[in-house]
Amino acid sequence: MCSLLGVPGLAAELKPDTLGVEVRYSAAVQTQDGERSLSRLTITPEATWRFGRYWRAETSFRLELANDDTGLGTVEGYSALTKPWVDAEHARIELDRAHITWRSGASRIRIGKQVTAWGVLDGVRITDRFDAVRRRDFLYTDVRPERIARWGAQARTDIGAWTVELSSAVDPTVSQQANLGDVFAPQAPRFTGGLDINTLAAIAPVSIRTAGRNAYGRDLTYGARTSRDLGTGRFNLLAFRGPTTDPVLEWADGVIGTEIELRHPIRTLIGASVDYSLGSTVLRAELAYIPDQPVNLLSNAGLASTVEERWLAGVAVDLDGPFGVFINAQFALDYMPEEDATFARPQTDLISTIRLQRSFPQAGWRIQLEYLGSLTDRDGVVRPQISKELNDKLRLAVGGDFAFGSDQGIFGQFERQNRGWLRLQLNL
Amino acid sequence: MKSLTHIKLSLALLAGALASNVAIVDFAVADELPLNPTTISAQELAQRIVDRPTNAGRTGEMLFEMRNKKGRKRSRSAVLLYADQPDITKLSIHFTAPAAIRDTGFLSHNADSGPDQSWLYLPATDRVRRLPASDRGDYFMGTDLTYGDLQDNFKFALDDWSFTSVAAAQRDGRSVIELTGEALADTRKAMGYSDFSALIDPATLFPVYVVYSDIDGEPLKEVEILDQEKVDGVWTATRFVIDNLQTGHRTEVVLRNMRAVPNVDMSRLESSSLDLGAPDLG
Repeated sequence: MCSLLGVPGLAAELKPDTLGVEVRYSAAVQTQDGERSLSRLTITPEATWRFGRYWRAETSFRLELANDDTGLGTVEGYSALTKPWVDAEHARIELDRAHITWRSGASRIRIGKQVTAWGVLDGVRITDRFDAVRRRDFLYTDVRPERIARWGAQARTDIGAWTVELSSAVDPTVSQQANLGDVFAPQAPRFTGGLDINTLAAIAPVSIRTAGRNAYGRDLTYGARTSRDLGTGRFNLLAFRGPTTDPVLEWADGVIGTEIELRHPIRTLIGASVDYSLGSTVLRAELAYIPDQPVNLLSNAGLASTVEERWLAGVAVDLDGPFGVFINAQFALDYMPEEDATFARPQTDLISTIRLQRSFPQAGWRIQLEYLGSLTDRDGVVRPQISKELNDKLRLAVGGDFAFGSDQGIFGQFERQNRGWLRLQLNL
Repeated sequence: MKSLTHIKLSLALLAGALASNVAIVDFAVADELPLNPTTISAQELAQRIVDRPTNAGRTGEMLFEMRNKKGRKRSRSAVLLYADQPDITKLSIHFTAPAAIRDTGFLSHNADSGPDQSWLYLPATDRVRRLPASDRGDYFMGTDLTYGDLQDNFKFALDDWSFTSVAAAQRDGRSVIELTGEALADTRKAMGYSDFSALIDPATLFPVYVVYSDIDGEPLKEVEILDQEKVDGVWTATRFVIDNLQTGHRTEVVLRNMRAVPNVDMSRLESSSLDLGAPDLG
């Protein structure tokens, strides 16, 4: 059996094939008052092993040290399997990824703590909703979304012209949030079930908890994606079912008061995506339908919720602009068709993103300007940054996150958290 | 990410990269001229170079060392897999160093007809991203090679150049053939070159030394092949340097442990496989 699977002998070397560590220090200062809002050191050791021709294993850890107002985020949404090994006020150690992979040709089976990244748009989640993500830094991360690996299994193979992928996460971990009171704790009522958290907190201390995340069978996430080439493009069809990535807020134990519970009911997503090369331009599009999206309603008593249909769609274009500038523009629609309900969120959300980027690879410089905006909330954020590759191991980046708009909006709610930042990254 | 989108390929550079039974053939070994520069025309010589044999498939390691005019060095290493099919060439590059870009994968499909396609896999994003096609004159991944250089594999495409002269010449005491050409009007801007002057090794048909001028006619860069190897009967340039005469930037490329793979597993050269990591060279 072992020989059939190409498993090497037990004497196979356990010496890693590659060993590395990334050390990243991030700091930010608020522009409004000059206060330091972020000071975080993240150390990520990783190792890979190859066992013969077919097997490969990979593991990485995440050690985080922080002394700031941004915080390290909640861990209540983590299952017991995924909870950090060390979770102190200013320090956290967790297993980031750990999986073993068998592969042969285009076929692959992977078991362990891993992610399932489905979607073709950049940081705009239309069909890319399989994974739990970190939201402690809002959208102000280097890579967006920041995925949280979960325990599960994946399989992939080619059948004729089609690639078929199956994925499951038995780990019911859900997205990480910012702790209440932290810099990027949601303020806008659209994210707080219609409640004005600040007003409520002025009356009595408010606490938020996450419903238990250890129902490994009930909260299974599972799905399939199939893909094939179409001319100079690639088409994907997918469906999956699992806990929603957009929690609903309810009063804990059904008692109206100051204790709020985040719930992540099961929902289904059916979607399609395509990316297509058209000369020096790349076009992308995604469409998703969720027939059973849990969503908060506006209610006099607050924190009512229902289940409704939800449609998401997005289009994007990549092109080379003048003077060597790379341009990425995206537009997304998030629509709840039910006319008779009054949702805590807008019935229709329109989001646009534009990224301009110019690289000077021989000199190691990169300049980037990103805009994220909501046409619905009439707000947005501008994110300039410049980075320099100091040598093969060290990169320095400085930038800013400058939101504007109403404090009821997606981005405007964090206008007072506008900041300048720097990031130093060492890879060994 | 843009710097990574600049990861373009050395389709052809690699092309020659085969290995095993390596016979480093110092181009100078060729003491006799199989080609007579007094009887062959420039166009005929260019055709012979274009017809130079390549392997159907090959894999190996690729090392880049870039140095700016201040002497600061940066390096990249990668595993490459290449397949040359009748109507399309496919190339994947999986970076192994430095650590910051380890496991980054690049894939390109260059069809004889129809648009080129390329993809990038960034471990940090966990997904394969389709890239816009780059201009042939764009520089590849911070090197001094353009995408066009890479695709040309030390050949001068007959559709791009008008070949103007051929003559006998000497280089380091060896007999070579000098070939010159001018870029055709409709390709010079895309290539970024206006003309070239090359010294051709008559034994291998590789241009062992080339000087290109930019579209304004100013000297732009020198390309020198330092080592050639014959693997499975096919000559391959396995070490070469490119000096940008205008910026002082220099790139040295070394291909090592190359071997021919006559029956490449083509599924490893599809975008859906790019995140599977580097192919096993064993």
